[in-house]
Amino acid sequence: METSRAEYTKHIQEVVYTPDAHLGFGWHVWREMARELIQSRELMWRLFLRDLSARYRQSVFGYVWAVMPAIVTVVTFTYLKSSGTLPIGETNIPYPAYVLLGMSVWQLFATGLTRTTQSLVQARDIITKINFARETLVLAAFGESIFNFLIRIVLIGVVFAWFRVVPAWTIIFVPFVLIPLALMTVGFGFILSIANGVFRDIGNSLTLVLTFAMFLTPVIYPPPTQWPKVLINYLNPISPFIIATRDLITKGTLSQPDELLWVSVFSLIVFLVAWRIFHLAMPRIAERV
Amino acid sequence: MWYGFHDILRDTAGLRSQSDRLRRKEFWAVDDVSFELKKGETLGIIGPNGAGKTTLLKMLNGIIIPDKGNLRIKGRVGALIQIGAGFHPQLTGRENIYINGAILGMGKREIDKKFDAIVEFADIGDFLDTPVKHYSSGMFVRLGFAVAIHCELDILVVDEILAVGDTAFRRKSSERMKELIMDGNTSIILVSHNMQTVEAIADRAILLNGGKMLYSGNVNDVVAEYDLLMRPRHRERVGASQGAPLKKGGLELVKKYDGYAGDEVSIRGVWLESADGECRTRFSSNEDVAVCVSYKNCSNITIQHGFVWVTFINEYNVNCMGARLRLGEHGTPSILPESCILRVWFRPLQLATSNYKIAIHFFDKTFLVPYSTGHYGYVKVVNDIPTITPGVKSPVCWPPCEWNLDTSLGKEDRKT
Repeated sequence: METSRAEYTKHIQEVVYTPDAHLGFGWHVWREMARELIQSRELMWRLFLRDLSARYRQSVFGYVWAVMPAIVTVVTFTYLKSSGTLPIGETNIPYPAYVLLGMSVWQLFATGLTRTTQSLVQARDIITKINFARETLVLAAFGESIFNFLIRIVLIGVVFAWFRVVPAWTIIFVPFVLIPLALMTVGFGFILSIANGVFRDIGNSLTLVLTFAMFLTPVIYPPPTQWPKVLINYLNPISPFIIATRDLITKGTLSQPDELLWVSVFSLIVFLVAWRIFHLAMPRIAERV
Repeated sequence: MWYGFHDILRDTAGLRSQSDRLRRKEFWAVDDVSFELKKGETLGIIGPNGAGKTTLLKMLNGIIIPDKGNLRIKGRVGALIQIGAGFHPQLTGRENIYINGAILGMGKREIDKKFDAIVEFADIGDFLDTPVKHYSSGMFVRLGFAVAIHCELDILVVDEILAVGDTAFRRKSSERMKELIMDGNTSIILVSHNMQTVEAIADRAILLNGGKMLYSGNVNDVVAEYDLLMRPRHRERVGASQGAPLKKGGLELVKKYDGYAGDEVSIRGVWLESADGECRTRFSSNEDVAVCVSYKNCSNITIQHGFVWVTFINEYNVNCMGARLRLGEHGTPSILPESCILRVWFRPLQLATSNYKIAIHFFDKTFLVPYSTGHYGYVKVVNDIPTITPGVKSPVCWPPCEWNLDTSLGKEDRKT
């Protein structure tokens, strides 16, 4: 204990809180943000475990709930398509597998966004009482979405095996598509969580907006080819990720490489800018959340 | 809500937030409060509810940033602003120790090392693996405090937490804090409404009220000041013109029984002087104080062998102590001079802490005809021993006494 104390004392830093010191986009602020995040990686992991075990405790089906929404959607749309209610074009793999794949990626984004948006408000208790890197709350909330996604991968594997679909070798590139998607989700999450801290309306309307947005994304139908619907592939920032994931798993080629590149760059920018805004806004949020 | 939106936008744009100005319906929660705390020192922050104590602590902790002025802090700050913040009700005590520790900035290894000490301190026994939602509120708080107090902090900020928990736990917590102080590595900032706790732990204190720092200094003085602030105040007033004191630092007429006393004797001023002739409205119990009355006999009546009464009335309307003069006694003239300044010394003042009014009456020799009656106020008296313990109450007076500790009897007992 003595040694750790002495060691610690060496690193004592002086902090000055003034009204304007935290403003601006200066380089030192980025360094401070990165340091803070690295220091609190363990906290992030703890919070993630906490949310996870708290969510599925006192529940009979436990982790099955992580895949339930996907299964229900897949069953619904498979039925709607086979009964001819919804005119959905032919897909290159059996439709249930096709929808499941699209839904899984979409849910990684949608669940992530919902959870991150709520994360600050749910933790208002600690935000207003303890000083720590609040980014961890948002990231831990997104972690839950990743966890759900990983469980769904198992389901996807089962469904693919059932329909005897063999994925293309390019499946190994899928993570490189999902990382920018994750960055974009967390970026939006940063912004929406502070917005939700000030205006609760954001969180309340998000579920509605996301349900609607899902139909503007090629999740349950193949990417449209006709004008004006084809705009969905270009203007919706989520579409390229979903299309690319499907392409890599089922076709082995990318149908929209340029778009994918642009959205990836865009998502990196969104992430960095949002993170910075989040960092700046934190003291204000602690006042008002 | 819109203000928050506006502030965030401005911060983001890197503009000065203009937050040093107040907008509509805003107020300064903490205004113009300065203090300095060195390593190993302990500071108490006291004040009535809503004085700005918690806001100040949040700023010290960096949770919110001041809109004006600055704070300079060296070292790891830990705030126990709310015990058990971050505890998840569904999770067990063991899981929550790790989570809370992590939130407070401890690593897993650090917690592992201190785990047993934490559990022992919290004294939650078999409940360690029970979800904390089933804990009693005492257990909840004990666990939260145990985790926080085991962080190695340079500055420990404690907000009104020792009020909860039973006596044994409170004692244990105080002892642990004293241990930290003894080690000399930790500075403690303590907010409490329990003055005994503050006095026991803090060296210095500041008193906040309405966001302003009223008083700062030695803990005993500040606690006495707080004690005074918390007492009920009399707000009886007569017309402002009548109430205005004639002398600077003098007392105002706060109550007059119209119709009972004539105005034969008109009081021109009432004030209190200390031994060095200073006119004040604030004294300590053991000071020598003179009540001074300047009057004028406006009538043609000769007041022979009349009475002059001076009594102190405390905030509970108890006449605590007084002096009575029968003209002609104590070497005074038997006829009241037409006008003069009358002084009566209380050596020492002896009164307990309170806000006092001073009643001044002039009577004829039969004690039936009042020539002037009135209450003048207010005078603060501070006694440096506050009493909060049930069953221990201050008397209204602390007269100078002689003490004798006779040990001879005891010695003889032992011999036999």
